[in-house]
Amino acid sequence: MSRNNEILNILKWFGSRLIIIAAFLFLLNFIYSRYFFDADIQKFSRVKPNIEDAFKNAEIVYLGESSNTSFNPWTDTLSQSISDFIQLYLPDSSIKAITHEGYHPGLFRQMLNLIPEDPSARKVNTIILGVNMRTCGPSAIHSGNEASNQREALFYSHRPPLLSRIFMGLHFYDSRGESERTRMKFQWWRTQPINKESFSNLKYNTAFEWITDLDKLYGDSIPEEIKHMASAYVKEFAFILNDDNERVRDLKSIVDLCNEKNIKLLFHILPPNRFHASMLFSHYEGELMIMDTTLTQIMDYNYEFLKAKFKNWGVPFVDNYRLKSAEGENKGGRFTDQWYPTEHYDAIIRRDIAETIAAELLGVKLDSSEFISRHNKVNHILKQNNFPNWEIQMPLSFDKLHQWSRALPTN
Amino acid sequence: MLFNALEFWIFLPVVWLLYFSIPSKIRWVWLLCASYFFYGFWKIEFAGLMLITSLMDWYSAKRVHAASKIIWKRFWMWFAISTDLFILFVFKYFDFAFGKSELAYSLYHNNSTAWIIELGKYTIPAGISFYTFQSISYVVDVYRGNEQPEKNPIKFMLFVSFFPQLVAGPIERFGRLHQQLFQKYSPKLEDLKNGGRLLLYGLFLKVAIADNLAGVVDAFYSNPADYSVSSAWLAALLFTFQVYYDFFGYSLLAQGAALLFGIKLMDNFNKPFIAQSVPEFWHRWHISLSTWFRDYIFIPVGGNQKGAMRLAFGVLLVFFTSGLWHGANSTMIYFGLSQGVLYLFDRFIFKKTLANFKIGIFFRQLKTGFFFMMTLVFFRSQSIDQSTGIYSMLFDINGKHAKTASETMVTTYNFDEAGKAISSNYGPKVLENLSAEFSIWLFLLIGFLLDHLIMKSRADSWFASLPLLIRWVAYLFMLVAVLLFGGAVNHPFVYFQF
Repeated sequence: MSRNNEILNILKWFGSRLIIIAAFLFLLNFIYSRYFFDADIQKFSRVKPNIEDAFKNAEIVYLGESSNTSFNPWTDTLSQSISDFIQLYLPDSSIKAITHEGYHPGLFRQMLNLIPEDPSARKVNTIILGVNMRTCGPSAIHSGNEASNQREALFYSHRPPLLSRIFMGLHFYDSRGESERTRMKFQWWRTQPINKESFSNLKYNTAFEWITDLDKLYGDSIPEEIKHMASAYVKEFAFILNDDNERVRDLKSIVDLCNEKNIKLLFHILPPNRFHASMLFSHYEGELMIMDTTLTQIMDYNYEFLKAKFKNWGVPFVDNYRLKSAEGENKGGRFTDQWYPTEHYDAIIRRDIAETIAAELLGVKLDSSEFISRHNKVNHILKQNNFPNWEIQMPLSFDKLHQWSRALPTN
Repeated sequence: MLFNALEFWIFLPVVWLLYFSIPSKIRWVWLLCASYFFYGFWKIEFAGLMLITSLMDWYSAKRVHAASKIIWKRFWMWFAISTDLFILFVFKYFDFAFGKSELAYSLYHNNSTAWIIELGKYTIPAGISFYTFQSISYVVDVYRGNEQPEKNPIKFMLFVSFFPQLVAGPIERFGRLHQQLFQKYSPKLEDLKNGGRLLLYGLFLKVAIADNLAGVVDAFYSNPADYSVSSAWLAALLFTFQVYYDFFGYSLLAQGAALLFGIKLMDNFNKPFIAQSVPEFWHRWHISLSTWFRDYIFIPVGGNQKGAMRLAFGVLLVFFTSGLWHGANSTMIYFGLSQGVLYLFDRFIFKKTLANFKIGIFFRQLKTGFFFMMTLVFFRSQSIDQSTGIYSMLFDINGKHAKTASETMVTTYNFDEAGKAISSNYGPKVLENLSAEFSIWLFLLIGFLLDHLIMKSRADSWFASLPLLIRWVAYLFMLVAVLLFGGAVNHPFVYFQF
């Protein structure tokens, strides 16, 4: 009897306190929204106002990572980002871009939560989303920045502001630390198979085996920079895409969300530096350099996988995977990072990408008279604004690679 | 699962409600399941490790008790200790000791063992040092005849894994905890209230004070050369309070969570910063570990009964082990040893010479706190190089650091506005001053005040003694501090990594 009384006491005590605390939290949410929320947004989720503004006031929103805005500090006298170039080709449309280093489909998916439900409260009708291959790989998925990205994304929602603040303070998001993420990266490289029957010459089962073998492959005569670069290319690109990939799932969610909100979605596949990817593993036969396609076969496999997915999902996409200006004839020289695999381009590639996207949005071909006329107009504008000398090239890693490659063992 | 994670605050009431909803005879089974879930929630492999340690020690203790000859008793005790230490070594110290060896290379290139190396290198099993020590103490106590062995291995598993004190202590002794775990207990409103008070106060110390201080301290330690000398002092000071409020907060949370189930865990802190000497400090700081070292290392090697030399050896051995226990890094060994040397200084030099002068109590407290603050530079640094760099900054009387830094020419490319212009700024490096937001100072001040006010009792009874209105104002203030101003970056408890 006394035990039951005690339990009854506890329940009564709890009940009254719970009511007080619930009322207090309600009041606190009001105070927080009014006096502290904006400051927290500035501190922890600075991009959020831009996202909201873009969805409300722009017809086309470009979502991308650093490839949109990166430029070549050596040669670019043009600073236009890919989205800026698109705007030049589509002067009658309002375009805004949400881009930031390290952003990825997982974050873009959460950003789409901020599109107003009421169609009259938004202007956006098209979303362009840049997809690079590396974003689907272990380095990007388990990046050290991911905890802060996910913290930022906590605020991309319409939930009561206090709840977002509590989630942040009590770490109710994927807040795994850098050390744990490094372990997960290594685990991926060590355990995820990369070999497919269709690949010729690939003698490794995992990226880890390949990385480990680089020392043997290169020996001591090859400088460390080259080894690091080769290792980075393997780490970034040697993985096999499948339906379980986190980013593939995110892309699918984006497709579903856009369909749900009746917004046109356009993916565009960014070109990777395939030239460096094959050059790094090349060898010489006499004076003839034989490019090794082992890594590019994996890259191509992933590209084909994504392409098939986009077709399967019924999403239009712009295919710039093998964009001419990014291909080998420029010796990878239009990529601004010469010693690391990124999708950072000079103005020519940025412009070329923008052209393909603009043509897709206009529903015309690049060689159509309508588009050529636009192209000429844009060139005219660019000339008035310090049109670059397209011939200038920055110092290329190729020149050094070329020299060092001669020291590589022949197969 | 961490106490400062939302998952825990869902887990705890669910476990509590179910605990008191099922028949009292099987409650401990539920508590065991909950404890393994709590631990395995983070990584299931870790729960497996704890299971192995528990079963190994349970069996060894049984054999120790059953053996009639001392030699077999000894054998089984050392068998348990060495297997425990072996597991601890593999997952915590192997990378530090042999990370660059051929052995590590071959283990890492073997798929069946590579995961162990990866875990040890990047993700040390949480709290492994805590539960290993707790489990060892049981075997030694059985060997000494101080405890009767537990007959049921499953019950013993609960002693090792009881979730409130699993990942960061207090390191409880078998005699004290085991009895409480299996006693008949009906929920008491008073325990619930006190547990709630400890949980709230602990969360305030951890989330509102320690986590916010961590942000400031991390900013300094991520690039000390960018900061001024005064910033180095500020960082050293703030880190001292960060560690204190972090660990003290954790201990209160552990006590609060345990009290909800009617279990009273020992106090792990007793106002360490009023200690007048280093020996006294270690009687007040992380008491469960200090007493563990006293009972299982210091006294067995001679304690203070066999002369000064033996005592000095014992002290240095304890602090060396303590440093190593804190982390697999040479900085931790330096931290431990420097505390050991200061302990001996206070015990043999200060006590016999300077203490005869009429030096005020406040000065002694300041000296002890200062010693601790200075050795914590080792504790926080990533490497010996970084700690020596910071020490040289701290004692930069001629402004050498400022001069060196100002002579460093830096080039920065302005990428902020992509491509508007490529601007290169060449110029002397301007040293930054470390600063903390007003709210952080306010919470720290309140932390001090509460520490001062709760001097003679425990937090729960002190809060209970306040008038209703003031008490609720205090609760709501702490709640607001946690909910609106909690540190944004996830800083696991400092001692969680041990």
